[in-house]
Amino acid sequence: MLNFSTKTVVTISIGAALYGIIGLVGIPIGPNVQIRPAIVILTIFSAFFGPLVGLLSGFIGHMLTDVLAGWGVWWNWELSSGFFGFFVGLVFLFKGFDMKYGLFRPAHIVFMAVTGIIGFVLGYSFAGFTDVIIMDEAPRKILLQTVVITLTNSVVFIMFGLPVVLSFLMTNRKNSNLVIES
Amino acid sequence: MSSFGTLYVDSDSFFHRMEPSLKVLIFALWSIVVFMFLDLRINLILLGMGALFLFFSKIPARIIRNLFIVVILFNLTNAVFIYLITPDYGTTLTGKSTVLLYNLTLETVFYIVTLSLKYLSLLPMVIILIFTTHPSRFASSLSKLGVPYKWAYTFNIIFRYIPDIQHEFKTIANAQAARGLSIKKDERSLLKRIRNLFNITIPLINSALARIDKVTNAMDLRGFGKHQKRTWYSLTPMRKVDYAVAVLALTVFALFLYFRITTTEKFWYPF
Amino acid sequence: MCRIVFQNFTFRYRNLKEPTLCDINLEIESGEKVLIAGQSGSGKSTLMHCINGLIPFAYDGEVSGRLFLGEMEPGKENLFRVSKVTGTILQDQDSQFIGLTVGEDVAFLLENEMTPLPEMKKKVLTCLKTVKMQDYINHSPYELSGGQRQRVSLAGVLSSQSEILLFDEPLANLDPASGKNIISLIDELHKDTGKTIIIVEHRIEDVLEKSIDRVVVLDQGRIVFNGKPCELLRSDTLKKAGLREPLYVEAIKYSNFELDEGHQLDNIRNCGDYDLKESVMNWFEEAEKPRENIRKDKILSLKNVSFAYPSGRQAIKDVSFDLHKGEIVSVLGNNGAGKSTLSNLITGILKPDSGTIILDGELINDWSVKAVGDKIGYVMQNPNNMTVKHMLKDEVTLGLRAGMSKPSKFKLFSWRKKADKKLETALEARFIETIKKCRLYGYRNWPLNSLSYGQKRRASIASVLAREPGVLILDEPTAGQDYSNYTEFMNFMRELSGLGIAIMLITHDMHLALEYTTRSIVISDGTIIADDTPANVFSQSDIVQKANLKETSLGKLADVIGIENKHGFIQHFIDFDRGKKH
Ligand SMILES: Nc1ncnc2c1ncn2[C@@H]1O[C@H](COP(=O)(O)OP(=O)(O)OP(=O)(O)O)[C@@H](O)[C@H]1O
Ligand SMILES: Nc1ncnc2c1ncn2[C@@H]1O[C@H](COP(=O)(O)OP(=O)(O)OP(=O)(O)O)[C@@H](O)[C@H]1O
Ligand SMILES: [Mg+2]
Ligand SMILES: [Mg+2]
Repeated sequence: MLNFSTKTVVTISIGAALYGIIGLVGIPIGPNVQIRPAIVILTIFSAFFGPLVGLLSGFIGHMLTDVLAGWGVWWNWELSSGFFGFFVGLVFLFKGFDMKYGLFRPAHIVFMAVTGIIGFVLGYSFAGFTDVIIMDEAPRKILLQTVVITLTNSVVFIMFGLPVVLSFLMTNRKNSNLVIES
Repeated sequence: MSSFGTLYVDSDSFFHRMEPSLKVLIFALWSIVVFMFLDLRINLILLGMGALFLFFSKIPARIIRNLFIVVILFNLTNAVFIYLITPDYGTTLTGKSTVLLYNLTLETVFYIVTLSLKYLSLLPMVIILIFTTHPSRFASSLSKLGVPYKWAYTFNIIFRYIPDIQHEFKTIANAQAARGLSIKKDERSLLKRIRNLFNITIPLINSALARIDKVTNAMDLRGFGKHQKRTWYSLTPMRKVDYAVAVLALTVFALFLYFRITTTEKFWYPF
Repeated sequence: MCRIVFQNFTFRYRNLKEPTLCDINLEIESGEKVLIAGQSGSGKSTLMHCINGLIPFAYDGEVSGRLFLGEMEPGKENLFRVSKVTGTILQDQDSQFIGLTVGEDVAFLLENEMTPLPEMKKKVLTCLKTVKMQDYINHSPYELSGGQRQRVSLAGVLSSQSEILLFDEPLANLDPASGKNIISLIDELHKDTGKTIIIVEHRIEDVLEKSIDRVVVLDQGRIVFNGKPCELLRSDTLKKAGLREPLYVEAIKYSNFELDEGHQLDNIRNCGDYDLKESVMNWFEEAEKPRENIRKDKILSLKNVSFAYPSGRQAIKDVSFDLHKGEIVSVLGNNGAGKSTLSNLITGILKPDSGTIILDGELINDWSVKAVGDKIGYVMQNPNNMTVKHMLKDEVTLGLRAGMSKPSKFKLFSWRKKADKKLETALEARFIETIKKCRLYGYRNWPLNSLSYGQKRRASIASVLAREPGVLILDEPTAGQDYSNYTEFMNFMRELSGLGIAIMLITHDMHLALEYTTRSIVISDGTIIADDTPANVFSQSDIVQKANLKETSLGKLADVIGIENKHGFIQHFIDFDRGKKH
């Protein structure tokens, strides 16, 4: 695990760069609430390449977003993206699941939905908890914050992330035995 | 943003010359100190030091001001939320209650001020780390800290492709808009805008996947990962000053640590 | 010494049914300089990947037969052993450049070889000097032009000890003068180091300008020719394989001249020595003056448009021109002249700092990209930026489904009638019509990511064409395309212009401009330095030089043979060529 292949290194880096840049983009749908497509990117990358890539791309990518947006470094919140990437990427470990060749069963998608939400819950709980411990934030305020952020992100994940994973799976399934038709 | 897609500001200062791994070390120690205290005095000391550092770093004032504005705005909203949700938190911390107005207590105000300064005092070292570190030197320096070179190289690749990805995002958005799929306000239906935005992620992901293969090939073909070690073109040797600074930083850190251990209350409340 | 030997070599990509390389038997001696030509999708890049080991190490698939690099069988080694003897310059320039700066990129290989720092610095400098890029050592890739990047990648493989250098389309997207430079550079390299050099390129004529030992022609994964260039040029192999012969060779063949062993056509200077001269002279009859093109209605007009990038670079300066219905205009100019910037201004992606852009009588300066997109179709330089969907069909019909284009046939289109079968059949019909025109019919059920680069390019063009725009802007549509695709495509453009569509083509292909466009706009350093018929443009040597253009080999042939009226000669060739094709 310490000795990554070149491909893993490149995948983590490009995943992080992409997640980091797209993290800056959003369509505002209300005061202080944005629909951000970045979650979709992380979902796909984790499903393609597994929990390790998900963890690191998510963590480093989120750090990049914060830095580029002029926020500085908030490692505990950034780690929450890593949590999500890790959990949603667990599906990669199933033998019968392969994004590249479009192999999956419906149960895998359900599994992703569940692990993804677990990832959010754990990640944001961790971030909130550490904020209380190290930044001495007011616990009740943080609790409310984490609940709201977990809910909105879970909705985006279920509504947009999973369908995009499905569409990748469906098309890659078709990507075999190609012949030039006349 | 510089042509490296990072925020690096080209200049020559004490911090620009400093070994990046050392900056990472100082940044880490600094953050730990901030985390350890909820103490107005400590935060004022840190902010004072930070101001001095920033002065020496030769980072344009405009950049620093913008960053401070962002964090101050964040602090203001945070303060409002804390007041609305837990107006009695100061009392919880200190056990005292000095009402100023309606349900606003002096303790809560003092807590909010301390917390805001705590957030602010994280800022100076972050700014220095981000704006004075050349990306190429960063990765090579990490590897000197003992980070395996393949991990360290991650940062090189990230910095290399950030501008590409930014550019690509813009181009794809434009190409799609030209085909009637806009993500800007000129598409009046919000739903369609959102859908178009998610549509853009697909070519981005596709091109990222393709890019992974191509970059991996290009790196493999030039022998990346061939040996257990590698040398770095952009590596600069540790200088005597760097060692001295490291020792100084550790000493100061030890002082803070000592102070924290000898005081019982984390939250300093003088009244 | 490292001979390359293919024995009954066959390769099939895992997701394809048919093999991409069939029964290849090929030997390349060490120190040879070989050109590999073939149609887009014929398997050239695949062949390269077999030599440098990416097949089988990076691409899944099935290999049979054998391949040797010297004593070594790449498939049985690891990639590092193979990459020690081969250095590759990949087709894709962006991914090729790995370092953050020029110096780092060149050093990348040395770093991995654990070269000590002082020695590394020295070597990097030497390699950069070889390609004359030492002044750019601290530049980032974004500060380099296409040609300069090409040079850096060259320096990157120079630092290796590898005996075999592979170039996959080193000239794509380069302007003629830069292309010529790169070819000379490769040639010098070959002479100085004696390395084996293999070049894959569509621009055969440009590669043949410097001597080549051997040409291999691939057609649908099989070798159809393997021999000396002069032999190749005498035969009609290129034509049969759907590739363009060098223009001067074509002209000589049109003159019905009997070619035999003695004729060394690979160097144009040899063409004046024989009675060949007379044959061509006889064939040449003064062509009638190129028809004055009848100016129709103005559709797009730019007046005094200027634009500077936020970085301060004044990319477009005071540009004015008109575009008329049914006209095909070529936009020429060196790399970095401002051609892409100009099309971004017209399509609303960038907003001019001053000046006016008028489309059909309306001022469109401030229109959004989407609004302009309904009227002006824009095909960008990089096909990968344009494709959103996985499947060819979804991609081509996507813009139509967005319901924005609303061409007359689709007035009924609305979300309520989504289920309408008529609409689906109409969409299907439009889809089939478009991809037939773009020669992608056989691939209609393919996902886009299994198409070759050239095929992807056509797919992106198809998706814009399906919306039936009134003005069409194409940024280097024929780069990386082979001759038969190119001819068909350009004839298709001509058809479109017959329907009244105004077409603006950005290109580095001089003959394309001559053959298919009625007007050339030449841009240099952000200003228009010429706006005239292509033939007139090429006869002004100061313009040709300033914009890094190049005289075609027909002009040179005319020189060698001693024909005074170059215009007439070129025009005669084009007319004759057109007559032949129909
Ligand atoms: N990674 C891949 N997976 C599946 N099929 C592929 C892959 N790469 C190429 N092909 C198929 O193999 C065939 C040959 O592709 P190749 O890239 O070798 O063509 P080429 O001669 O280099 O064409 P071009 O001039 O357009 O670059 C194409 O039909 C393409 O569809
Ligand atoms: N986003 C940008 N920011 C700053 N300068 C730019 C930008 N894009 C292009 N330029 C500069 O503007 C000039 C014109 O670039 P443009 O891309 O229009 O050239 P081009 O004629 O299309 O070249 P090519 O033939 O290589 O495609 C170049 O010198 C380029 O360096
Ligand atoms: Mg190719
Ligand atoms: Mg261009």
